[in-house]
Amino acid sequence: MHRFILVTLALLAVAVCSAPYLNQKVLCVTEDEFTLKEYLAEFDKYDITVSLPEDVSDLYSYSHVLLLANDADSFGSYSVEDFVKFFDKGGNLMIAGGEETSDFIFDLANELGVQMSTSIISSPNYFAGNFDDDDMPEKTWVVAQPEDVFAFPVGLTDTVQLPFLHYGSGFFVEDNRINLVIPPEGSIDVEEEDEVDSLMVAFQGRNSARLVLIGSQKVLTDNIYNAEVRETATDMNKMRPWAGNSNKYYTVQITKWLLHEVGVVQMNGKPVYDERVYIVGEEMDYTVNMRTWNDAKNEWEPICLSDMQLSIRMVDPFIRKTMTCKGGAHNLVTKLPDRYGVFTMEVDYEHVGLTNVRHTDEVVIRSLPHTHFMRFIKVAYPYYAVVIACMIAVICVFCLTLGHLQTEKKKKVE
Amino acid sequence: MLNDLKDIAREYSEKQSMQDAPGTAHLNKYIFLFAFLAAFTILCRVIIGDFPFNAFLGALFCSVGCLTLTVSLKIQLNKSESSEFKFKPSRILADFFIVSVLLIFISISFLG
Repeated sequence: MHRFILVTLALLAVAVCSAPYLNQKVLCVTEDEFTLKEYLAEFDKYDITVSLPEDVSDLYSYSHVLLLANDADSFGSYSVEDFVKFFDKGGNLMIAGGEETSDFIFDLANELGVQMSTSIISSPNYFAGNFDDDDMPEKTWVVAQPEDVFAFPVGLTDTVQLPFLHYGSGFFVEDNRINLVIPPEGSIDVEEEDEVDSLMVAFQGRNSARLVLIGSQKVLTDNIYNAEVRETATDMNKMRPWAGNSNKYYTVQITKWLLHEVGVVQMNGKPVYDERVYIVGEEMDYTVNMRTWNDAKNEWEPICLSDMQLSIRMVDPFIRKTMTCKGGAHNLVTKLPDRYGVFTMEVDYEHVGLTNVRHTDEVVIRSLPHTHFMRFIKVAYPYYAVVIACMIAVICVFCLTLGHLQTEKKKKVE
Repeated sequence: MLNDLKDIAREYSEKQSMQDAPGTAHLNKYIFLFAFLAAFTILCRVIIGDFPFNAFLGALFCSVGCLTLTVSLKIQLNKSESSEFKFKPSRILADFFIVSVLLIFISISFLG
């Protein structure tokens, strides 16, 4: 169910960094692009278009959209439904909240299943920062500890070591939205006084379109990237040393995930199995090749997924087993269900952070032809012996009775 | 107690054989044989279990059917003079043979 948008641009472009089925066009909607210089410089291999909210045009030609303008009421001529349609079609989306989130952004986040807080988050922990920002007076920004930052996505090799500096909205998450940054205890929405669930949310749709919601654009700015924070204490002797933050590292990793650079798995060709009509009780040998996109080498390479399962089902799964893997080829050898009918062999792989893989094949299973039943079963030899004995006995009865009757007749005649 | 039972059985069988027509005394042996085969089949089923159930049924029906046919042969031969159907003994024997052939044929086919 992948949408393979084979774009000729991919052939012409210099270096393909996101997975080849998406084009390299990124739309960054922001009113203040100068503060995002370091962030956008990480992705200079992409064809990034920066535009003001009211100048947004040609939305569907982009593969990735970063909406970093939280107080814009309108984005070109597009409505909330248009952006939801963009996401449904497979486009990746990043949405930023902030101090005065407009209804548009609020509704858009709601449509996509995440409820934003109505105002910014503050926490009772006391931190001091060595950065200057008039919009961020003390206690309006929140520091999340490194252990509260989710080591995501799967390609993230180093866990986050430094605290994460957050300013802006919080989020209330439902079940399958991934909570990336857990707020420290007591972080509340300033106006409503509600404790929020999350400071950054990620989500991947069924079509593998990715969505990230961040507190505000300020989390991505150069100012914050270079800032240092420390926890204050009343006793000057107990002050902790200044420490940098993990904003740059983490937001760049999350954006790489968003742009389909990491965590992309795909089926390499069709599954391999003997395509014929099977008989009840025969063995099925099913092989699936999987590959992952390696953006450093700019090519696909085989990958072993330890939890890939094959289910053979007719409405309900009769068999569901984990496949064994060797060098990217996932293989399962199993006995087919003991029932005739048309079965579906389904690979339905959904792993947090990886693209979804779905493939179905049909297999017809026939019942045993009458020539295939067992004959001369060793266990049943006593029964065969009984029947043969009856046969011989019947013949004896017949012959003997005939003889006796003949002698009777002769006696009578005499 | 056991002696009494033996006496009863002996007297009964003597009376029965007195009433028999002369050419049918040997059939008793075969009746016992078929009864024994039926019991043997059931014993086998208890030991072996249910696996080739059609084989068990085939053997059971064959032995019990042949038993029934032999008993009916004996009765018919004994009563051939007093019943309303005046069949010749050869006709009775031919009936027995044809039906038992049919029974054994079907039973072998059912054995599988």
